[in-house]
Amino acid sequence: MSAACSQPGCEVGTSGRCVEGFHPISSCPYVILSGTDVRTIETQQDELVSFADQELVDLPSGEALSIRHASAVTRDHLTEIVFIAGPFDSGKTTILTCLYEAFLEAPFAGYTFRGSKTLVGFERRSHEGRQESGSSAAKTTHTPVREGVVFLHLDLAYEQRDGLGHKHLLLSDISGELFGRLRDSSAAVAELPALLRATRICLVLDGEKIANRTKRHVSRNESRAILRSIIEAGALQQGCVVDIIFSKWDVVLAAASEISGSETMKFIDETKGLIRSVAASFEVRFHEIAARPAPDAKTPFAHGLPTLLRSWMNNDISSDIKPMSVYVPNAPARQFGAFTAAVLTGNTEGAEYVIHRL
Amino acid sequence: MSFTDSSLLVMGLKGSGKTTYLAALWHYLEASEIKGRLSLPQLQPDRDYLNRIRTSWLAVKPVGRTSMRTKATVEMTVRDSVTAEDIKITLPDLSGETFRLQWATRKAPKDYMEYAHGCSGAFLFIHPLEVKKTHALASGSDESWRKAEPATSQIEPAARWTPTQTATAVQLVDILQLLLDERAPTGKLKLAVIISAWDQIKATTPPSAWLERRMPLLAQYLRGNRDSIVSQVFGISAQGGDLTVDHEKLLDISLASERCFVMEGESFDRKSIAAPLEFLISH
Repeated sequence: MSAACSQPGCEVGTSGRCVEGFHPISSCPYVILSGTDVRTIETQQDELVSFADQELVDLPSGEALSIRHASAVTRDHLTEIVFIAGPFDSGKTTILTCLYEAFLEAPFAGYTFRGSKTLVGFERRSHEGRQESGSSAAKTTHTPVREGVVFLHLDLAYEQRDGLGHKHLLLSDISGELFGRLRDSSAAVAELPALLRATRICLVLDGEKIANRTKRHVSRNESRAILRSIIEAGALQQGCVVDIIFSKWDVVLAAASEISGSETMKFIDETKGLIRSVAASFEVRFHEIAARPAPDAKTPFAHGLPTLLRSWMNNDISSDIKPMSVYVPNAPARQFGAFTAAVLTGNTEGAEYVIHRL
Repeated sequence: MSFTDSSLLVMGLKGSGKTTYLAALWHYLEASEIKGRLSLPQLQPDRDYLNRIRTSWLAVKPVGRTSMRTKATVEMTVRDSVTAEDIKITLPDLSGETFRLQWATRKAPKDYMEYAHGCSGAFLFIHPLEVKKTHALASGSDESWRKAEPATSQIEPAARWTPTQTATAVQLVDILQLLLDERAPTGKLKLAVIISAWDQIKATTPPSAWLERRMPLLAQYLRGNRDSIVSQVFGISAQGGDLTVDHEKLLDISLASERCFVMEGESFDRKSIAAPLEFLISH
């Protein structure tokens, strides 16, 4: 029996060891067995062998796109490239996975899911935030430095007066550690050609740290310094919009409701002023985001994401388009998702939904 | 009488009802127990596979599933009484495992890709009781959410992500995206989305609304790609009932073709089992 595997770096074919740790290797969903001596063992293995015995062609991996593959999207389609920057654990990847989770439930913020070349990449990154990970608390897989600069892809459609329009979004997913290097080294900025093509740069400030008196100054300074480093290196094209995100906004609101809460909001106002002065030659937009708030938070799932997405898409959706539909199970015992819950509570930031109870 | 070719794909994950539908459709066309728009003017030379699955279907037995070693490509010519055309249909019945492994391994059989390149339309089968979903958690400890909404996921939890931890809708969108990428640009793709075992879910909504509610990502994908895909959603009961519970009742129906029923789009009206095929081959 011989085996082959589609997983990058897996040497099961030569060493017999499965990079995913499956034993026996036939239980690994990536592995393809071939040969003749296992055909009668069990049906599933039999199917795998039959599959491997056919002449197979490689399909696109579905993983996040390298710069080269992302360039193919920009070459062929109307595309917005969003470069998302922020320190480690500031919530960059969570924003991307929550956007994807919202589309799994319904059209979102006036847009309809039209496709994605990175479904595997989205699924892989979303897993730790799901019940199916076996966890009771959502986490986000941190992006490893070794991945370098990769992009998640969405193709989103919207109604126009003369029919359906659509636009592609390339959303960078880059490790926080890499952005540490951008802050400290102009050479590191110069080595990121993807920045030059970005139509928007999105800087994420960790709201949890902003709400913490001992961490807020370091946090603000890190983000401001990254932005300054990128701008002074001339890495942003003219007309590039700077989106500033205060992430984990539910934590900020909770801190603001405490006795010393006014300090937090004053600090945020000052932060906005400092950012504006660093990015004086660019249009700056501020966003308050609670992508995946705690269950007892006052903000719903995906708070602020509709406005952010509309900013990224950089288009005017026709004002006379029909409201979008959300289908809600009528039986109370039936489960509905976090985004549907947000629609039911009416927090959709201007996007109109018609709720159908089925 | 004019003559055209129609190369159709039959897609769907394992157990989604592809072969059962083919068996019922073959009987409807060949036996001509009920007169409809489509008929079979003459038998095709090779009918072994279709007759075999029909025998099981007529006896109200499971028709079995297509293994990857069963190279079952159906060819037949049907006559359309509305357009006065004879249409040669080529229709490979691929194993559902092919489609699961396509998602899991990012590889596809070369044969399938060649069919995909030249196809004019496709059936996409979904078994409504096999639709798997994933469930996003909120931040922090989320025990309250769990208590309020008991776990309904059919996906086995695992700490590390593997392709099996993926919702059915995501896998089907992936299959359709690859098909659109591979297909030669020869007009819009016609797609009949078939919700099989329609009798078993006691649906209070028509098929289109069912798809919107249970598989919103797939429904969005079809709407968002209406410039390149013309789709219709069908709810189909190819057996007419449960093979165990309704076994005797189904055997009592004297014209076997009358067991099946189809609902189309936003309607509750019963249509012929050939309605999806009529949709795919109509201009």
